[in-house]
This record gives sequence, C-alpha cells and structure tokens, in this order.
Amino acid sequence: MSDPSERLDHAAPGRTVARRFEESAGYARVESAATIWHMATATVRYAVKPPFTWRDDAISECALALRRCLAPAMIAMFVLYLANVLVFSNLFNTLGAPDRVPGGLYLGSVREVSTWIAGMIPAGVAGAALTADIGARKIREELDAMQVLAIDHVRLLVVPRVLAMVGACVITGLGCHFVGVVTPVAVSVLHLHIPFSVAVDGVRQQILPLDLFAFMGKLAVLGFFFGVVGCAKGLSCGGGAEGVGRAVNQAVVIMFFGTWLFNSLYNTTLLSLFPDLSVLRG
Amino acid sequence: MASATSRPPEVTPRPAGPLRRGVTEVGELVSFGGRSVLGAPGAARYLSQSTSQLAKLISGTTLLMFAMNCFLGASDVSFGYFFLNSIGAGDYSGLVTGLLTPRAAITLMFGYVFAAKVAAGWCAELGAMKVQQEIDALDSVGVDPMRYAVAPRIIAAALFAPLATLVSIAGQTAGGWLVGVAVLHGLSAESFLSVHWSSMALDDPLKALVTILLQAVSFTVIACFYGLRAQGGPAGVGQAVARSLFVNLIVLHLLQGFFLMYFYGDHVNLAIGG
Repeated sequence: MSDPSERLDHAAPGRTVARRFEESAGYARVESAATIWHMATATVRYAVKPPFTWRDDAISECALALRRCLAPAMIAMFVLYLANVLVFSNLFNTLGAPDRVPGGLYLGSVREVSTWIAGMIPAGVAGAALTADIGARKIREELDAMQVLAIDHVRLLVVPRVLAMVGACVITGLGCHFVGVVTPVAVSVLHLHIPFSVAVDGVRQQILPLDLFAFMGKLAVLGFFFGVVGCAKGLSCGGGAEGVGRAVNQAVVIMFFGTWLFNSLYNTTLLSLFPDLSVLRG
Repeated sequence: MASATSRPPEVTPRPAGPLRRGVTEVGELVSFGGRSVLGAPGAARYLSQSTSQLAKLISGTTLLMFAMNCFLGASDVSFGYFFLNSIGAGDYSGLVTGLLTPRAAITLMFGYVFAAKVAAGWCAELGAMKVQQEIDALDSVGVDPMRYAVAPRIIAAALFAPLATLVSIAGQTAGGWLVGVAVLHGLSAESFLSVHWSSMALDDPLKALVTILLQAVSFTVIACFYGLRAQGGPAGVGQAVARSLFVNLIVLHLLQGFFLMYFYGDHVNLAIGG
C-alpha cells in the first residue's frame, strides 16, 4: 500500500466491486471447484462417446500407476493391518471370543481400512505424480503447442489418465483386500492358535458380494475423483518456481479431504440402506 | 590423430542400478536428518523463523486436522455401531472410538494431514528456493541454510504436535458423536461419551503424542531433503514434491505399524480382563 502507483490504481474508476470480487480468495476457490467440475463432465462425455481414442493410453497409464502404487499399498496395508489385527486379537481373546477375530477383522478391512489405504496411496503416489506430469507439460507450454495444432488436450491427456486412475484404484483396492483376508487368518492361526478351517470359515461367512461390489464402486468413484482433481490442478498451475510444487500440494490436500468425506458419508448411507450387511452371520 | 588412437580406452563406470541408487538415497536422507537435527540448537539465532512457521502451521492446518479427524471418527462409529448392533451391543459403539482414537486413529490421520498439507507445502517452498538459487545466496552470505531454513521447520513441527493431539482427539469425539448420536440416533450422548472416555487410559494420549512427534519430525526432514534436492526448474520442484509424498506415505505406515505394536502389541491397556 505504500507504493504510490498502487494506491492510485486502487482508487482508479476501473476497479469496481465486481473486479475486487473476482480477485478475492473465495472466488478463486469457487473457480477452482468449477474447473474441476467442468473437467469431470468433459471427461465423462469423451469417455462414453465413440471414437474411443483413450483406450491404449489408458491401459499404459494404468500399468504405470500400478507399478508406482500397488506394491507400496500392499506393504502399507500389511504393516498397518498386522499391528491392528494383533491389538484387536488380544482384545477379542480377553473377551473370550478369539474365533470372531478373522471374520470381524475381515469386515473392518473391506469396509474401512482397505479403502483408506487404497485411497491414500494412489492419491499420494500416482495422483501426485500425475499432477506433477501435467503441470510440467503446462509450464513447458506443450499444451499451447497442442492448441496450435488443434489437438484437444482433454481428449489426448486428461481422459486416458482419469480412466487409468479408476483402474489403478480398483486394482490396488483388490490387492489390499487380499492382504486384508490373509492377515487376520494368519494371525488367528499362528498367534491365537485357532484351527485353520475355523479361521477360513469365519472369513467365508462374512464375505458378501454386496460388500465387495460396494467396495469396488467406492474405489472407482475415488479414482475418478483423483484423476480429475490431479489433471485440473496440473492444468491450472501458476507460473513461477513454486507453481507446480504448489499445485501438487493443493491437489493432494483436495484428494485426501475428498476421500475421507466421501468414505464416511458412503459407509453410513450404505449400511443404513442395506441392513442385511450388518446381520450377524456365523 | 596419432595421439588420439594411442590413448588407452576410457573406462566408463557402470551406471548405478535401482537398488544401489535406492540405498544411496536412504543413506543421504539419514545423514541429512542427522545434520538437520544437530543443527536445531543453532536455529535459536533465527527464533523468529521458527515462530513464524509455527504461526502459519497453526492458522493453516488446525481446522483441517479437526475436520479430517471428524470424518475418521464418523467412519469408526458407523462401522462400530452396525457391527456391534448385530450382537445387540449397539450401546457400546463408544468402545470403538475410545479404543481407536488414541491408539491408531489420531496418529494415522495426523500423518495423512501433515504429509499432504504441511510437508508437501514445505517441500514446494524449499524446492522453489533451491531452483531460484536462494539457498545458495543464503550460503554465500554466511547463513547456514540448515539452521535458517530446515531447523526452524523441524522446531515448528515439533511444537505443533501437542496441539495437534488435542485437536485430533476433539475431532474424533465430535465426529463419532455426530454420526452415532445425531445422525443414526443409535445411542444417547451420555452412553456414547461415557464409554468413549472410559476406554481411554490416561497414558494413551501421551503415547499417541510420542508417535505424532516422531512422525512430525521425520516427515519434515524428508520433505526438506527432497525440497533441497530439487533441480531443473519448476517441473523439478513438482517431481520433488511427488517424490517426498511417496516416501512420506511409506514411512507413515511403517511408523504406524511399529508404534502400534510397540505400545499395544502385548496388552491393549484396557480396564478389563487380565
């Protein structure tokens, strides 16, 4: 404000209320949300309308994302869930119900913990790499070059990556689900010394197709969200040395926040709508 | 020409494989961490740096930490309520949040929020400083970047940990109350809160504080390490941030599993049974 020219500009008649509103932080947030929404609708339109130019790119991007995040996700799931299962198996043992460990902890995995890991790791690893990639293309002016050549960057870059994130999230989720089945069974057989057949039976009685499909559907929605947010943030990243880094940071915060918001609402709704899921089995 | 042919053939060293590069990177990271923690006392000269980082941390992250813990508490109660209701023990839904809040939930959520919001932001800041040669400028005027840029952030992160613990416990309780009592009408507020608080021992939040403190310091060290390694302009900064997030998420789950087993592996610290 001490700069005289700036003060002059502030008093200039061109600086209306509407102009000041457009420069405010709240407007920037609304604009960012609108960009993400526009990206999502455009992606869906291109994805369902032939020609399906995205197919080959989507497969190779999905393979790249899986190479980045499948092993870390399964390792993270194993370490975290092993600790949780050990603590809870001691608790169930104290309560005198060690045979409930495999079934109960399988349910905990499929409804909550697998979703957390299969949401957080693809968002933080593949989603961040995606934003950095798109942001780097943006500041190297590759996108402007595409525009000059009349190539639609949404069709060429965004759609395959978003669909690849959907596939990567679902497949990572299935990997975590596998760990979530094996870990409780292994702990209850090796640590609590209950028979293998009892442990497997406990898990088998808790596996419902609806639970599994709801889990995969949840991850597909999350993967779509990660892809869209990553691409939108990468495409709108500012200039300057901090531009891409800041975009990656913001994208990951939005992805993490969205994951937890969506997961808590989804689970409460699902379990209220389908009371069959919470009937005691076995 | 003749001298060129008589020169002995050049021996190019074999390029390092992925394993060797990974081990080198981990070694550099550990050595960086040791140097930065040793540099922390020297940061007393730049006390204003630490306090300004701490102020930005508190004003920018506290509300997000509370909200994310609300979501996790809500998820825990919705799982626990429907699971326990099937055996007719829905009134004990508070047991799930009371058990999980100090043992696993707040430390996990602190890790996610801190790694994504704070550590990635610091990595972007330091990376930008590095590629704009501000770090070299600091060095050239005799200011140690370790003391001026890295150590104040470690101090700020460590000072933020107790506040984060309190806010996280409050957020978990609020989220659990919201779903269990206000949305599902599953149980009364008194029965939820009494079971919730009585299944936490006094030392459980202190153990959570230890985990949170170590997470905060190690994430900050990792973020600063990758930030200061950034090269190749703004695109390199973006790559550095993505890389630091990847490493942070792996370290997060390893620390989670380790501390959960270390503190609660042999007994759950509950006032029931043996």
